[in-house]
Formats: sequence, structure tokens, C-alpha cells
Amino acid sequence: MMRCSEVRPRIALYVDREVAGTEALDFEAHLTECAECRREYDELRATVDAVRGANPIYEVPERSYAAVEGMVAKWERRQRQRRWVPAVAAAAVLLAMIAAWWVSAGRSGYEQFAAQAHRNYARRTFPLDIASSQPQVVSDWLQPRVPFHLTLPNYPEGGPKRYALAGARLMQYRGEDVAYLAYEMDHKPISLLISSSSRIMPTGGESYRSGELTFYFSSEQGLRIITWKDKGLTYAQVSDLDVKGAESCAICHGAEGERRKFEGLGKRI
Amino acid sequence: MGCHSSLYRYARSLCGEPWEAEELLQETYKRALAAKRKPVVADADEIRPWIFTIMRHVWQNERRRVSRSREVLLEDRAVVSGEYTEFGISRKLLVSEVRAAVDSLPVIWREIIVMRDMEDLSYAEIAAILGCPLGTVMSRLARAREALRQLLMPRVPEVRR
Repeated sequence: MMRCSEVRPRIALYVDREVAGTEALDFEAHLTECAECRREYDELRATVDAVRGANPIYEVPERSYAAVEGMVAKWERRQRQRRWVPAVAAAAVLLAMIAAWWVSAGRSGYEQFAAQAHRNYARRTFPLDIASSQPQVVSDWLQPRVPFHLTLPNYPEGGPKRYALAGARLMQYRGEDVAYLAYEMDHKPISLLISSSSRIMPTGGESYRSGELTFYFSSEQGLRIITWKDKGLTYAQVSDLDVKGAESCAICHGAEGERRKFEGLGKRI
Repeated sequence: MGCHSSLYRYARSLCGEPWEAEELLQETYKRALAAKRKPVVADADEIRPWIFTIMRHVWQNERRRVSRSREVLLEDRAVVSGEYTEFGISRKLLVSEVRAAVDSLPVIWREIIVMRDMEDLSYAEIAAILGCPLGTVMSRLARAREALRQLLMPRVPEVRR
């Protein structure tokens, strides 16, 4: 059994449930035997019970809830906004990546598509939907079939013809109708692909600016590819003519009146 | 908000006046919400030691700033006076008597009575909040209770026996 000297320091601990197990049993056993310790325990027990019995002694004012609720609500709103910032930033980055992929996919695919169409045409494995050397006839055939306005110019104006229109074919590129135009110069084919898709952007290895237009020049397996955008239409011209850069334009547009259009084209960006 | 009532009562134990307690309460919430590290707890009660500690720091800082003189921190002696008239002891009266007695205690005893006997915090939790050893909690609580017993004895029959 516990002695009084062991019990006294434990009275408060026992009241506060900080004594447990066999120690509590020993403590209780001592209290049944020792009147002095019991009296001390009862005094403390009565005081604590009175305090605990009176609890809560302080009424919580209703307005304190309202004030704190407002504060917490404001904090929660700020937290939500903070959570949105990284989410929005991440979404913006993701969108930018998708957009970059979308544009780059449109670019490289269009060039390759034009080059492949040219090769097929050069191998004569690619029948034209309409075979005609008359720009007006080809324009009339294409116009109702493509989702953009197209009138083929009668180049070169006034001079001897260095190239001739061979015909056209309607093609599909990424679900959209595009016009394929076939020309010939010195018995060599020249292909021109025209699309109105906003997704397709001109691109290439070297770029040259002429007035409002920027031309991109690239090569692929001996083919020279020029792409540009003008008035909402994206063009890709493919040929195997042995000329470099801006000289390509001069082949078809070499007439005196047209050269002005390409002034400064030799200036590389 | 789950421990709002507890927190208010602790604020009342630290501040003599209700309006002071409300100010302390708001400042405590402000600090708690701004805290970079918040405890992750399943039960609202588990947050009490953390937010009580914040409240005590806020209160201590304010005390140092204002250099209040009307509260005297007494550890070993209490100025205890009980000018009570005799009342029948209904619960309402018990509340009134206990509140008067608790309010008359020095703040350092008042807060420990509120934390232990009203908010049921463990010795360890109180020690963490006060930043003192467990032994100090026990001795301070014993003195506070003895002072309270002296105050309540003339008024509360249960305490007289």
C-alpha cells in the first residue's frame, strides 16, 4: 500500500486523471484507509467539481462568431485564389505547349505534304482532277470546291510565258480542302499548294521579307520548298529547279512589272 | 471554428474584460490563419494547444507593449479577498460565484484553471502552451486551486465540507 507521502503529491494527478492502472488502484485503496489523505482529496475534489460544474463561466458573445467567420471566409477566399494562380499558370503553360505543337504540327506537315504531292505528280502517279493550261478554266473548276476565294492570275503579264499551268486537283489536308496546282517549266513540274486553314503557318529554313510578306525557303531531298502566307491563304511551292532562295520567285515573276513586288526579297531576315 | 468557445474562454481568462477578450480572439485568429505551418488534425479539439499557444503569445506581446499594471503576476502568493454575501446555490448562482472567484485570481492562475478545469487540457498540453516544465504546471495549478478553494468556501456549500 502507498504511504501518505506518496499519496499526497498524487491527489491532484488523480483528480486530473493523470494517474492510471495499478497506481490508481493503490491510490484509491489508500484513501479508503487514510482519513487525512481522504479529507485533502475531498477538498480538492469539491473545488474542482464546483469549477467544472459551473463551466462554462464565460458566455461566448454571438458577435465574436460573426467577426471570426468573416475573417475566416475572407482567408478562405484568398486561399482559393492562391490555389487558382498556379493552376491557371499551369493551364496557360499547357495551352501554350499545345498551341506550339498545333502550329508546328501544321507547319512541318504542310511542307512535307506539299513535297510528297509534288513527288507523286512528278512520277505521274498523281492524276489531276482538271487538266488545263487556262487559268480561268482551272479557277472556275476550283472555286466551288475550295473554302476560299481563288482566281488564278494569268502570269506573266505581257511577256513570253516561261511556265505553263498544267491543271489542278482537290486535296485534303488534315480534314480541310486544299488546292493543288500543277505548273510546268522546261518540262519540269512545279507544284503550288494553297490552303485557307489558320492552323497552317508558313515556315522553313531561311526567311526573306518582301513588303508585307515573309517567304520561307527550305530543301527536302533535292526539292526546293517555298512557303508564305498572303491574305489569309498559305502557299507552298515545290520544285526541283536549280535556283536558290529568292531567285525561285524571279523564275515565274520575272517580268518587269512584277519584279517590283519582290524588291528586297534578297534581304535575309 | 470548432474550438471557438474554448478559445474565447481562454481569452477571457487572460483578459479581464470581454471586449479585450474579443480583440485578443480576433488577433489570435488572424495570426493562426497567417501561420505558414498549420497542424493537420482530425478533431477540432486537437488544434487547441496550437491555437492556445498563439493566443498566449499574442497576449504576452500585447502585455509587454502596454505594460499593464492592473494585473500582477503572482506565483507564490495571491491577493485573495472574498467579499461575498450568502446565496442559495442554484446553478446560475454557482456559475456566478465561480466566475467571480476565477476572475479575482491573478491571471497566471486564472489561465491555468481555465485550461485544466474548464477546457480539460492535459498537463503536457498546458506545459507546451505555457512553455514551462510539467512540474511548474502542477505546482501552479495546485496554488491556483487552493486560492480558488479559499474564495469559494464561504459561498459554495460543496466546497465547505
